[in-house]
Amino acid sequence: MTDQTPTWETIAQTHGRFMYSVAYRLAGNQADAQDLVQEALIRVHRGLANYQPGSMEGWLARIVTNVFLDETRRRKRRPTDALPENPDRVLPSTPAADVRTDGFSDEVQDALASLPDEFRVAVVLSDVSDFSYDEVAAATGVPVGTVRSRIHRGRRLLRERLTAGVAE
Amino acid sequence: MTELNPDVLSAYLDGECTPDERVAIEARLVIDPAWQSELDEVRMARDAVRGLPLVDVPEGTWDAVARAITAADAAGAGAAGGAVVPMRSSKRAKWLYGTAGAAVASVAAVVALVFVLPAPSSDQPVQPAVAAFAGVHDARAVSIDEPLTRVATASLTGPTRTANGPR
Repeated sequence: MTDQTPTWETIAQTHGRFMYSVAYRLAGNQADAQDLVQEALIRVHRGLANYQPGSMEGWLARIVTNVFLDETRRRKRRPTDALPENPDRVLPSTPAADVRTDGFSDEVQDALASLPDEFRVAVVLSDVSDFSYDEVAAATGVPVGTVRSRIHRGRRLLRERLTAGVAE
Repeated sequence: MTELNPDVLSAYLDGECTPDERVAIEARLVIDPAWQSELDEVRMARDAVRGLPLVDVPEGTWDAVARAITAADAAGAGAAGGAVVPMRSSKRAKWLYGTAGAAVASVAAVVALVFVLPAPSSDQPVQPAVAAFAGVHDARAVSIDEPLTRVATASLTGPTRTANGPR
């Protein structure tokens, strides 16, 4: 590691909100987002020596996304792991219930969190992490044509749910 | 005219379609109000997500991360990772540390046996027994950590196109 290589603490200080935001948009709740950021920073800490100067936020978003996808796959393999281990993790499953900002953002977050996983991941990677379609395909392991479809259908669903929310 | 699926509209919006598709989409948009309407809708949804603000990190997060990294460093590169360990799950953390401790104790016991037991009468080395033991545990570790091992390596290559953060 060179003197110019940042420490994980520096990264957390500089890009922590970005990492947490990506994690929160992917996970849809605060507890899981914190866990994702923690595991991502452990990986960052281990990988810093190999980091090639470039877009730090792109690199970080990819790591957070990989942690999320790993965890999603792991939970599918072991469904019981999805059960909450602490009583206080039972209730906050309502999307965005634990982070309230104001106005339209809450509605968008709720609508985003309500999307099926595969649509939400594609939309978040494209519109929050700013991945290209090729990068989304690489990160999720599906063809680019599938990415196109998921992003488009995810946005349509999002639009429908936002419209329904306004109409209520 | 090329047969188009409306799914290409988001790709069009994102500059992710081919030049031929772009020409065909623009021709269709001129004559088909439904396509124009759908384009407007997905644009609105895209802009809504892109307009989401950064989220404040909950208090105590970085302290918990510091503790986790210290613990991971102490446990060594292969002992943590793979599965996300919830910050508030002390039971699980204890289980992990207990398992790691038991594994270390088992290895120590086998190594001690190897050195304490008298050497075999033949020239056969005792190494295969230890190697077999390690092999079993290596296999388990790889099985558990496979996603981390694979993805962490891949993730270090960095993106080919990135952003300046959320817009």
